Amino acid sequence: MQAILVRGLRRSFGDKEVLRGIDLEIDYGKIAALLGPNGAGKTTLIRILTTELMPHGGEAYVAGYDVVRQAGEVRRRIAVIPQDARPITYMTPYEFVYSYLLLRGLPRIDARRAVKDSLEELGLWDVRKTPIYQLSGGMMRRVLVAAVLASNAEVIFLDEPTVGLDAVSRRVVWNSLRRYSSSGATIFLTTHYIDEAELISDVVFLIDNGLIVARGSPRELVESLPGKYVVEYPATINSDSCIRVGDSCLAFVESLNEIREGALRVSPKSLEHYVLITIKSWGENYEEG
Amino acid sequence: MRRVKGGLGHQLRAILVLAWLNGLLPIIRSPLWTISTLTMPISLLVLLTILYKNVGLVMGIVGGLIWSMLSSGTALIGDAAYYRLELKFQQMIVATPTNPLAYTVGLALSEVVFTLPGIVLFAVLFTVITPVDQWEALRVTLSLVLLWYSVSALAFYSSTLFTYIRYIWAVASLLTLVLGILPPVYYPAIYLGRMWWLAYLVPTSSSALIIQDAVGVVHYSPLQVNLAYLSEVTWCLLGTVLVMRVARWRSS
Ligand SMILES: Nc1ncnc2c1ncn2[C@@H]1O[C@H](COP(=O)(O)OP(=O)(O)OP(=O)(O)O)[C@@H](O)[C@H]1O
Ligand SMILES: [Mg+2]
Repeated sequence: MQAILVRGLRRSFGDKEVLRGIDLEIDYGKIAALLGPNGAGKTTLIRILTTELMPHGGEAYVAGYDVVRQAGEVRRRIAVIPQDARPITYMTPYEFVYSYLLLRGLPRIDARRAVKDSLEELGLWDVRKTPIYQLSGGMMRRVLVAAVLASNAEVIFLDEPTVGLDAVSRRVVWNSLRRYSSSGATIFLTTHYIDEAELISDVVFLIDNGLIVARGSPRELVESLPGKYVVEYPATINSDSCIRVGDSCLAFVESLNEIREGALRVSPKSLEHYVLITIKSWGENYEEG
Repeated sequence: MRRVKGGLGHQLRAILVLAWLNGLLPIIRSPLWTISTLTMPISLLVLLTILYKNVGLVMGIVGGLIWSMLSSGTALIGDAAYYRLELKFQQMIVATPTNPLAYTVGLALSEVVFTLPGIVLFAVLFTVITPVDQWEALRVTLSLVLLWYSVSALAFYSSTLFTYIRYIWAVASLLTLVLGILPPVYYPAIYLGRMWWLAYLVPTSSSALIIQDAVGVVHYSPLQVNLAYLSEVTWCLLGTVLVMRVARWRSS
């Protein structure tokens, strides 16, 4: 049984088709990242999988249960940090995480232990009694992560969990995610930091305009690119051997000797380059979700 | 994985947790905040007492009790919408065993807790100034509970109609005017003359009518009082139907 199984999922807002037949499956114990441009439908997909929004077609199962017909069963087994979520600011981190766990149905003793472990893990133990409004933005975000990772959910959904986190905090969160998934739980997250997806996820899904356009482990996807390095030229350059993306043109080369005049930057090929050339609709969806 | 429950016991606990986190905690953290909700009913009480002496005092106390219930409703509109639109807290709770009804009741209860200083103040004044027998005290309590229920249900329902948080503040003050000041909450319904039935159109004045009658500050006919109960019960039923329609978590 997969932790998440989605077949032909559709959803429209008005006459705009936002999800146009999503297929995906994710095993237990995996970290999966959903990448895609603004407005591609990531948040919409997560809202449906967390039983908060009704799909218009197709099927979706989370933890083995139908998100439409068995929503109650699904809700017991999942946890979510929605995009732009914030903790209640007059509470302290301890109070917030603790009450969230009680609302999840954990016995009080278990909840207290889980709060302590989670706040320590996310580096919030020292500020556990400070009102959240006195914390920095990144710390507030970590309070939310601490709450869901203290839960006993089998499948966790995180919609852009690391926005605004500094380099060290991101690593703290990454380590916690890995620790959580290694106990057999699945984590499904979205992010615009492609390096993050490359570093932490077992499997990556690229969503473009409501369709999954690529999937695989970060390594497989990067390996599928030709050459070793990527040279970026201005889009105005006259060449057929480079691929136009926005204002740049990307050329994949085997060796650094192949760099020509006018190159803007050179880097080893990465998941970011894969995403850049695979997504077709950059800049077409400028509405924010 | 560990097993989790979602039975009745859990829902009751969830209600208490919500009442604590949204009712008790804010009072403890910033008492000034709750006192600010008292300024209006106290002003009216003082004004009425100066103008109309004893009768004014009683009317002001009855109005204050109604006002406390009403303000717990308007606070609920704001909080429920804030948690859904701004903090996305409701969406986090969707993905837990806590069900939508427990969430609604928990928030509604939290607003009562938050309004408790006002309720206590006016209840104490009430028992000191207007001695009533047990039977009358029961009627007063019953009508206030019905009022709380209907106002909370309507408030939660209306909070779901908003898609943008800033409209809430305007609507809350408009509701205070339409439900607290215009209908006969602070004055006898008989002042409406042949239009006395207007008092039944909103739950606040129906409740006020019952309490005014119970303390004997205004005398209504038994028919008028019974109609007030009928109006209150109808509002409760309507509120329940509306909450059932929206308390499903999922937006379509
Ligand atoms: N409630 C809504 N009503 C109307 N349109 C909506 C609604 N929610 C989302 N949309 C539209 O659906 C599309 C996809 O939105 P969604 O939030 O899923 O994108 P996203 O991939 O999460 O984008 P981002 O990276 O910016 O968060 C957008 O065009 C958005 O305008
Ligand atoms: Mg989004």
